[in-house]
Amino acid sequence: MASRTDQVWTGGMRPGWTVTVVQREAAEQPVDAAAPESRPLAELDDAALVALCVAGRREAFDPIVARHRRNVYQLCYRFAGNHEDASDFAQEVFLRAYRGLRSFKGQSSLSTWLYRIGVNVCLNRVSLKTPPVGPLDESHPVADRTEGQGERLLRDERAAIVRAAIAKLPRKQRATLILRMYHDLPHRDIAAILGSSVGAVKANFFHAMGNLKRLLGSEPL
Amino acid sequence: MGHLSSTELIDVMEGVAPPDARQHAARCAACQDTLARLEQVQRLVAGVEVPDPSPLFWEHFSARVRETIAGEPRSGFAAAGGGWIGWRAARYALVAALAVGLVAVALDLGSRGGGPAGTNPVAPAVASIAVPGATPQAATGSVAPEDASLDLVADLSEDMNWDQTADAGMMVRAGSVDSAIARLSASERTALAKLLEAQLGHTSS
Repeated sequence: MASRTDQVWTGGMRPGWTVTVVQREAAEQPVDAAAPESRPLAELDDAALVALCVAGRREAFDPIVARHRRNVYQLCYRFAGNHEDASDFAQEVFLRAYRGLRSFKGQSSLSTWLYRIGVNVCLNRVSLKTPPVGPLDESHPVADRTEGQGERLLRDERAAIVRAAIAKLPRKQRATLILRMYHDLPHRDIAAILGSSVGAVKANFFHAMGNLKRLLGSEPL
Repeated sequence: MGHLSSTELIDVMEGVAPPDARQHAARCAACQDTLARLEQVQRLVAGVEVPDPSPLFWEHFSARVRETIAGEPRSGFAAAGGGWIGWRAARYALVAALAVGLVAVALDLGSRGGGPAGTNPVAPAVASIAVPGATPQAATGSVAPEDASLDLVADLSEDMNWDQTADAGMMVRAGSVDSAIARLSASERTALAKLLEAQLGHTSS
């Protein structure tokens, strides 16, 4: 940052005073000073989009959905175990998020907030349904073409067994395991989502693994 | 140092444990055994993927969310699970229903009196009761000011304002009362008139 002392401009100055003129460097000027309203929505960050939504611009919610729909869907699938329910749950997550946007204060990231809503939706909705113990959902599979049919069947069978075991875990253990293992959330964020302490999250994670070991029994690892 | 706690074991497994916990895990067979079992389960669980939906699914999903949201009030005006807005909306609905009912009675009484309902000057005056911001005096000034049922309407509407009412979708517009009554069947109108007539008779007696 450039600065200099102006010895010439003394008009109105008191003796002993020094006027320091600080010049802003060009790089300090905002590169894009355009108001959020004038920029394409897809270029705005989550906070700006939330602000626009709260101001009444519904279309600002579209990019939010587009950015987070995959993670929210995958979270819901982990709980639901099938595509149809996961899709319904995910839609409800975004609806609840939209309704509650005004209460989102930005203390956590929007994705963490969506995960929190997602866990609540999934735990409430899944508890009303029979745990998914059937085979792996085949409605929208992306087949691994290089994988032999026998290998794929074996993998799918193991996946179904693991899903069924996860579905039998206590609610907080299940949520902790899913958020940690499949969404790679730090323990701190999981604690915020579940309303627990970091220590409790780690303990839940440990016990979830131990329970899974017991539930899976002699399954080949 | 005793065996590692559950949280310490998780920290060791994730590589974020402090040195003393790592050193203990390196020389304690029991903790090593527990860690090995944890890591086995971790590998097994991690191998379970979510099948990727069709690429078309995402656009359909976004469209469904968009459609659902289009039927919602502006973000933040409806609290999930109810809350104060639910009570507000219920109050506005009650006031509007009372206003419609009073108009129905007025029209019914007017028609019994020989004059055509459409020319009865009472109707628009009562309709204005449901407009937020109107004072109780203004709302009730031109019709039956001593009527206790109108006091109820006035009490319910006294802290309303235009924005809240508009947001709740409860704004009464010119002609909306007439159209609401027009949608009632003949039997519904008769039943409503009897109910309100009985109520009016009860409160004025």
